[in-house]
Amino acid sequence: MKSSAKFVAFTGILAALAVVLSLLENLLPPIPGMPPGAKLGLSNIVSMYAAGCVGFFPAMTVALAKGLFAFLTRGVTAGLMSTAGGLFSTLIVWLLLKKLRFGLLGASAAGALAHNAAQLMIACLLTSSAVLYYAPILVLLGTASGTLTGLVLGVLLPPLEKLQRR
Amino acid sequence: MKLSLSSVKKWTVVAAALTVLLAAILVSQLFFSKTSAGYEATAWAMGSYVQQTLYGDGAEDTATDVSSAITELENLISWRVADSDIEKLNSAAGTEWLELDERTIDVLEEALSVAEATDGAYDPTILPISALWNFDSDEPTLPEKEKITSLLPYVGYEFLRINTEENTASLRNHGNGVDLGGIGKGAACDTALEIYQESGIDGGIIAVGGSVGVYGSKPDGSAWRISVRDPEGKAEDGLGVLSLKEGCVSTSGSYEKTFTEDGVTYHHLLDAKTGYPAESGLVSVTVVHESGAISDALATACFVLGIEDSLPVLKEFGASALFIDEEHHITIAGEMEFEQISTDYTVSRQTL
Amino acid sequence: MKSQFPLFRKRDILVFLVAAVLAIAGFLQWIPKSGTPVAVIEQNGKEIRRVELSSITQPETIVLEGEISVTVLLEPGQVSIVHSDCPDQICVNTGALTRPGQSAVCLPARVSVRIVGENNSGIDGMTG
Repeated sequence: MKSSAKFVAFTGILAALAVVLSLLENLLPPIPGMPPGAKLGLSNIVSMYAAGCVGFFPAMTVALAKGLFAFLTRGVTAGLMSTAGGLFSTLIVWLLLKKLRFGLLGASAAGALAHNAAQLMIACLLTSSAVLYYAPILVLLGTASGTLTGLVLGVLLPPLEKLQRR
Repeated sequence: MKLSLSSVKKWTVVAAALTVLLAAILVSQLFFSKTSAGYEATAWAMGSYVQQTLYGDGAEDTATDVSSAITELENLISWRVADSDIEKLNSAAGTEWLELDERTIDVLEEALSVAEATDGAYDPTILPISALWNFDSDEPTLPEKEKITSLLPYVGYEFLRINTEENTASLRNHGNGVDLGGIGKGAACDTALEIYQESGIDGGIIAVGGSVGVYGSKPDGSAWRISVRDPEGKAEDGLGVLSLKEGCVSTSGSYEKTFTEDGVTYHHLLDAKTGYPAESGLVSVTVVHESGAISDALATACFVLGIEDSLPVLKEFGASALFIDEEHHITIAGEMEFEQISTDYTVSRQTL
Repeated sequence: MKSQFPLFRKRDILVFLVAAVLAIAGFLQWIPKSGTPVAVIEQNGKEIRRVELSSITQPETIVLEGEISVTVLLEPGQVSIVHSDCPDQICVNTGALTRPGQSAVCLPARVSVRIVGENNSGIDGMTG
């Protein structure tokens, strides 16, 4: 990918894709018995792909776009939580995948954990520290959904990389 | 940037991970200990031991506010405090209407509502008789029979008149007197609950003597559990546990303030009709109601009335009650979540 | 065609290890702490004595002088008001206190003995 216009356009497509995926996810009914905020994290697939194959700044742009979208559609609290979670998890994924050369599963799980951790911190600041009660559940759920995202990426990445190389 | 793992030794990664881990655990411990412990405060007011446990932000300030508000209330409604509203009202008995603090009027209004509903089984104008017995002092005494007979006509809630629009009150005859001892602890709980509500704390519980008020929720979201004291003091954990989501609970027990003279034990729950300690075969009555003042006054009234006559009154106020009688039997009237602990007592339920 | 990113590398285990420890540490917080119960003796709202119940090896009596004198007995694992000059004797009848949340109060003497510590008795208050 040489042309910068193409690069920007590609980043935009990724951001749009992430937004659509998170929108889809919001349409799913909440899982009963689960704490609020526990989600599958479909759009994290896009964030991870961006962090791993496109670059640090495009990945952060995708995270910001997702946050902005949440801000517009679901209010200040959700926007703040989504932005903080997205940025932090993207940072962690990029660090683990590109710099420390972790595998997809590890990076993805760490990314999901970072996402939850940042969200929890924001929730803690905005509401009460009682939400920390959910922390261990969120750790387990985050690891599970992160692993799932990693597996999906493991399947999707080879054809995507082939596509990108053209 | 050429930073690959080959240049970073494995143990560096492990050490970094462990450090982050430890820090995370420490931080979470810090947060958790803050949320689960609750802030405790104790004080003396209303002639009682006041205990508060509060959860959430601003607990300490709120507890202090509550303590001073209760002391303020005491300085308004205690007849023993010089220049209190009630002391002034009693001094002005038989003369003029007095303008009083709104808080005093509120308590008087609640007292009158229970007095009227129970036909004086709870009577805020008991002072001429209660002052004779002097149960609140260190040396309660058995009054002479003639004294009681001569002062009994001065007791009657109809002598107490209030105007809630102008916040005024009067006692009709010289010799009438108001004693809010049977309602003050409950009213103090109401004061606390109001402040809790305004303060933005997550939850709190206040106990003023035998009256308890609960607000909001505990960190784990479960209902407040209030133990009912064993009148004989044998069961360490009490007779059983009441679960309460909101509101107040008060107990009037004949074991609370007593003295023995010539082999006879006298307790402080006076029957305004006879001027002597009430004898209804009960040892204690515990009443649950959203208002602390009402629950406190009802507990006294129900003790005097006995189980049978209490039922319609409880129904009228939408309250529920737990009666303990001298035969070691517990009767629960109305909706009440009660979990028995002591096996020395039998339990039956009664619908209202 | 293989991706430039392997699905799994050994160091990934670190992430899962960290997650496991975090989860366990978090769940441990759900277990109410038993803590060490501490007896607090107060007179006129002033703290007279604060002692860890488990640290008491020998019975000890504390006499609180005043208009109404009260005697408190500290024993291994428990504390009680054993004597009071008050007329009602409620405090003495309360018996021995062993767990956080329990208290014995002598109103006339303005003496209170209570046990503080992480309350795991499941009782938030007492009426009566």
